[in-house]
Amino acid sequence: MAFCRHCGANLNEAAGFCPSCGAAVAAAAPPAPAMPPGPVPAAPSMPPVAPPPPGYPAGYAAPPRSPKAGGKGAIIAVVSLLVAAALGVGGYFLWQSQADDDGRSTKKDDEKTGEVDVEAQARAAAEFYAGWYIEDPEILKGALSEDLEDSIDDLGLVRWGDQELEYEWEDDVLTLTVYWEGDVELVVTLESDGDPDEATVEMVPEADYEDWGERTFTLELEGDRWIITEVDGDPVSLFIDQTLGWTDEDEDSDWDEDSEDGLILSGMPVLLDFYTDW
Amino acid sequence: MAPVVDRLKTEYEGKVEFRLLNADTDPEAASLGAQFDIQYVPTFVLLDSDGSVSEVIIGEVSEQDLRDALDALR
Repeated sequence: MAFCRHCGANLNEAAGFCPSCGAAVAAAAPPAPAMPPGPVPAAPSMPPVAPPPPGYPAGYAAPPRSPKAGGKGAIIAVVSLLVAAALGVGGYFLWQSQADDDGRSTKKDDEKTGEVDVEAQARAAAEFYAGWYIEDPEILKGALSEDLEDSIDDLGLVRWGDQELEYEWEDDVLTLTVYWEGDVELVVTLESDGDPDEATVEMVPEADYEDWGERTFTLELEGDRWIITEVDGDPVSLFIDQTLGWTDEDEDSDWDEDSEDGLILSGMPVLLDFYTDW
Repeated sequence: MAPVVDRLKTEYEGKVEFRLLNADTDPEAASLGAQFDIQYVPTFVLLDSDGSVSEVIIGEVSEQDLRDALDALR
């Protein structure tokens, strides 16, 4: 028998939502494997693409490399969170559609739906902060302007082995407490407006860590990816794209070795510029 | 980055092929993104003429750094 993490009610194991409070069951996805204490890992490097085997044309493109084992945890966590978020948002719209159809929407129902949205939003934001979306701060640093790099070092975005997270709700405010070896390290508060497509993450370190300073991230959900739009009010151009990355297994990759979509070489060096208009 | 890339594209015409891939709209961005394990934007992948990866730059980069990376291509 499963129980709702939100209200404790018994759950049908096949249920996507709690029949009592409406919380998305999938929101209780297991956490990503924590990274071990130690030096901050460097940004991943790309292995060379193998030259064409004998007999292959010049346009031959080498098969993709296998995903790194170290990245699987992050990918699994991100996918779990996205599934949870999708279920929450999808459930909301399904409920809204049904309520509109039969005209039986009540104020109580409205409040319940609001709670679901609020929790989905704040939990996503908190988990983003906790490093589930970004486990390698070097990558984030590389995508930010230089004057923010020092700040990123201070943020402690990596979840180390002895770091634990605790969530506590009071009305619309979620408090995320980050423990390091049993002691409070950071307190992150999130006041949600119920908008599942946008979140603001504010970090307020405890007294012992006050020199880290307070930081604020603004996130927006676009399709199936969270975009970091601002850090401390400064706009940044970075998104964490879940559509281009590898899935858990090679065979799930979007790229088909036999397809004609692979890189066709022209005999000249090539610069691939992956960009976005956003 | 667009003005910098446009400027370098003109400067290196005939020496380096520039492939601009809009991650939001270009179908080729998805296939090549998967091939080169691209998860962040902007990302620059610099390939030598034999297809081997010379350098991968994630995030914003200065014009001089990008120029240096282009000059290192073989």
